[in-house]
Order: sequence, then structure tokens, then C-alpha cells
Amino acid sequence: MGAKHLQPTDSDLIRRATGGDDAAFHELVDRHAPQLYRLAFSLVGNAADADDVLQETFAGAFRQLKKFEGRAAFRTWLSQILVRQAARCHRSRGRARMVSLDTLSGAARELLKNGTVPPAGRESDLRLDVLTVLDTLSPDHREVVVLRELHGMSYDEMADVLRVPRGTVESRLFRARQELKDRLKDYLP
Amino acid sequence: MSDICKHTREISAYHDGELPLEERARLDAHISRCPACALELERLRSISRLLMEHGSPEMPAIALNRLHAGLPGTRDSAIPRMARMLTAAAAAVLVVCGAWLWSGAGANGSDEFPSWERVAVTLQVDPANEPQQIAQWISENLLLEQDND
Repeated sequence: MGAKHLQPTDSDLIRRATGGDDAAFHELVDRHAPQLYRLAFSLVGNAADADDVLQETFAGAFRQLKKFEGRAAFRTWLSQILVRQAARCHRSRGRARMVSLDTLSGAARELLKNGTVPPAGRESDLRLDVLTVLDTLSPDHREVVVLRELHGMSYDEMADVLRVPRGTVESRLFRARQELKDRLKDYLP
Repeated sequence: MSDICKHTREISAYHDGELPLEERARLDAHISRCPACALELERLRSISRLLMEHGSPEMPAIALNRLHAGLPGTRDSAIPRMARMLTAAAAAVLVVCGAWLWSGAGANGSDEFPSWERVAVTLQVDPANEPQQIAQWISENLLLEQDND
């Protein structure tokens, strides 16, 4: 068995990228973009905005790479930038956007009308229902749910990313989960 | 069965593994005796499963390609770094040469064209390699002048 090829660490790639090696930065993009895309999508609710948020995130990271001090994980730093970009996206496009009822699933319309979601009959409807419920959370609640459930961040990491005390993270997550329990109750034991 | 227990709020942090060891052990014992907290924990686990499985789509390959295309630099640049540096140097030399020609002064007062200009007006230029070719000509001329010094 041959020696295992060692992947460069994030620190190695960052050092090379700040030295002018664009390929190293693009390797960082390949490494982190897929997970950050899921984070972006969950925060903004659609692919087009997720693309824009991700583009702004990595463009900002490229410009500020020399300022990254390595005190937190690179992914955490990127997530900080992304969450701010997602919040900016919300502010500029407005959360109280008009949504055509025709584009919603029956379950989504039910949620808007009655505040609960009946069990979905098909996998694709279930995904849409979960995304819809996420989309109806307030930005504060959506952030903590997405960072915890989809990004696997610890409370301390989330406090860093969101720049709030750990206690705030904990209480927001508790309240967000009470909302989710209520809206997804037909899917739960 | 009541869904409410004074420890319900702690179940969220328990589920996330964020409680100190002693508190976790205490809650372990409590959950085994409290149907409300056991149910709360089961519901939180179900929510986590739902969100993990359906909470967001995978990034499409085309989105990743678009992201790379919109960022500075390229993943596999066609223009070598040295050619870029030489192009910048070539541009600076052209400006200096142009100023020198404009002033009408020369090292030996000669009307003879510099070698790079003679070559430039006689050779076919390949647009794809133009920056590298210009850089090469400038370099050759610089080397010739160095040899003649």
C-alpha cells in the first residue's frame, strides 16, 4: 500500500493564496463552497439568492484574506461573512415579498393559512414543506437552526459567527425549536 | 401526560451535547424517569433528522463553476505568472522607449530602429500568444543591449 497523499491544510492554502497563488484560493473554494451553499440556501430560501450570497462571500474573503488571523477555523470565518451577506440580502430584497400561492405546495398553503403542515405524501413535497417551514422562521431563528442543524456548529462557534453571547444562541435555538415543533407537529412523535 | 416539565428547556442543549458532563449525567437520570422530557428529546431528534435530510439541496456543479468564474484569478490560468510579470515589464519599457524616441535623443544619435521594433513590423503576431511574444522581444532586446554595454 502506497503512502497516503496528504491534502494541504486550510492554513497551507491560505498562506499560498495570500502569496498570490490564485489556484490555492480556488482550492479553498472547492473545499468549502458546497457546505456553504447549503447554508446560504437555507438562509435565503432560493438558489438565485444563494448563488449571489456565496459569490459575495468568497469575493469578500478573497479581498480580506490577509486579515484572517487564524484564531477561528477558516470555515467559521467564512460563515461569519456569509451570514452577514445573507442578512444584507434579506434587507435589500425584503422579507415581506409577495409569493404567488400557485407556486406553493398544498402543504405550504396550509401552513400559511393555519400555521401547521399536514404530512406530505411524497418525498419532494416533504422537502418543500421543510424548506417552507424554515423560510417562515424569523431571520434570527432561521440562522441558529441552520447553523446548528445543517452546519453542525457548536454554541460557541455560533456565538462567534453571529457575534452574540452564547446564552443568546441557546435561548434563540430553544425558541426556534418550539416553533418548529409546532409547525411540523404532524411529522413528529 | 403533560408535555411540560421544568427541565424541558435543558433538553435542547442536552440534545446538542452542549451541557457540562455533570449536568448531562443528571439529565440522563431525569429523562429515564420523565415521559415529557423523553418525548421532547425524541421530537428534537426527529426535527434534526428532517432538517438534515430535507433542509437544503446539494450545490449543483454548474453553480460551483459559476462561482469560480466570478472570482479573481482562474483555477488553471492559461497565462503563466512569468508572462504576466514580463508583460508588465514590457509595458513599462515601451513607455520609456516611447518617451526616448519622442525626445529625439538616443544612445548614439542613430536613426536605426530598435531590434524589437524591426521584429515587430516584420513578424506575424499570434494574438493568443501576443503578450508572451512581446515580452520575449523586449527581453531579447534588453539582453542585446546588455551584451553591447
